[in-house]
Amino acid sequence: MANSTTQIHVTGSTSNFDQDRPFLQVIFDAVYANKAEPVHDWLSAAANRLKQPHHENTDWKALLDSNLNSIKKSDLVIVEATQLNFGQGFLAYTASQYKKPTLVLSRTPTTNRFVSGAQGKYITVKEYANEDELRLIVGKFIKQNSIPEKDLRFNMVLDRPIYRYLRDTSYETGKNKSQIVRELLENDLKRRNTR
Amino acid sequence: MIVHLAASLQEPETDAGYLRRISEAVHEHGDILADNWLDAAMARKQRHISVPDWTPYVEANLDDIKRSDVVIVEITHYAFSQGFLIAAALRYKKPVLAVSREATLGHTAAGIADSLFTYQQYANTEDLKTIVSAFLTQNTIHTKDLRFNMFLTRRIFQYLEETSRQTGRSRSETIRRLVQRKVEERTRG
Repeated sequence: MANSTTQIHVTGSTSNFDQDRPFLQVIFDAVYANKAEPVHDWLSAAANRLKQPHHENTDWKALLDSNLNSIKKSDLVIVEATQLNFGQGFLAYTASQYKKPTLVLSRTPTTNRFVSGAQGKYITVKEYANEDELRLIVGKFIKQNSIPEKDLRFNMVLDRPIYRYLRDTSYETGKNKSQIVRELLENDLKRRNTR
Repeated sequence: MIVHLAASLQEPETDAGYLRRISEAVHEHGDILADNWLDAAMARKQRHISVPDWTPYVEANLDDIKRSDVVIVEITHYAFSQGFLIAAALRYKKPVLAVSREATLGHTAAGIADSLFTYQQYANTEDLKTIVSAFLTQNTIHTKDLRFNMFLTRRIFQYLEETSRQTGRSRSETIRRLVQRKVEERTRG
């Protein structure tokens, strides 16, 4: 059974973690409150990593790979970008290239800055001043971009040749019919994305 | 060769000095910049002119990246824009040189494993010039390498002749368009 809960990748900078952490926590809380799921709840792990004596020796390749994989797995991406630094720009662009609706959030004013021009079909940039405002913005973004569960339940009438094909393939592969149809659609989606 | 240079001017006077050195190295190497934006940006900074809408600047940067052969990004300030544009350049399969006066070891840039991405730290303008020149030399496609000969099979010859008659395009143009389509597919993939 496919997971029908909206998967959200939340990312941010740890360069000013003590200041940013409460706001990142609000984002994670808002994700849960809106019945979505973070792909990776990394706040505690980051806090532990930063407490280690040689945390600057972090394997950045592994960390970036994990971020990129989480983006691929997610339905939506939220970037806390108050520090407006390199990593946040890198991940925001990458998320938009994977066609993920991406919310870039900042307490730093964004007017007269490059980030304000990065808005587009997939990127939304919002400023917030406090936790309440942040909660509202995140909630609205999730509601606007989530696909309701009822829309994921899909019924269709098959013709007899298609029915026979699905029945036989199911018998041969041990996969159920929905799984076969989903795989067909996913392959078609991949083909469309590589065209 | 067309080179796109991207950077931020958080310390305008200091940054501009280094960026001018990069521009000089590009010109000395016989290459051209996709856009000579530095003087206009400096004038804006000096007159404290704010930009109400950054969208055209972002789009212009992305267009410049698309039509460049290589991209150089000065990342000392390690800003959002620099990460954003490097991600775009790598997406378009452009060789990228990131140069910085600061070490980026404890940062995202240190995790970029793409073989098209090179990071170099520099200490002064001479250092910077050497790094940029070496990068340009390494990535130069010589004109002689752009001249290409191949044998056609009779079938392909006939196909190209026929297509040429039908479309009015030369045979080279037909082949270039075919390859270009493959490049675009790979870029989108």
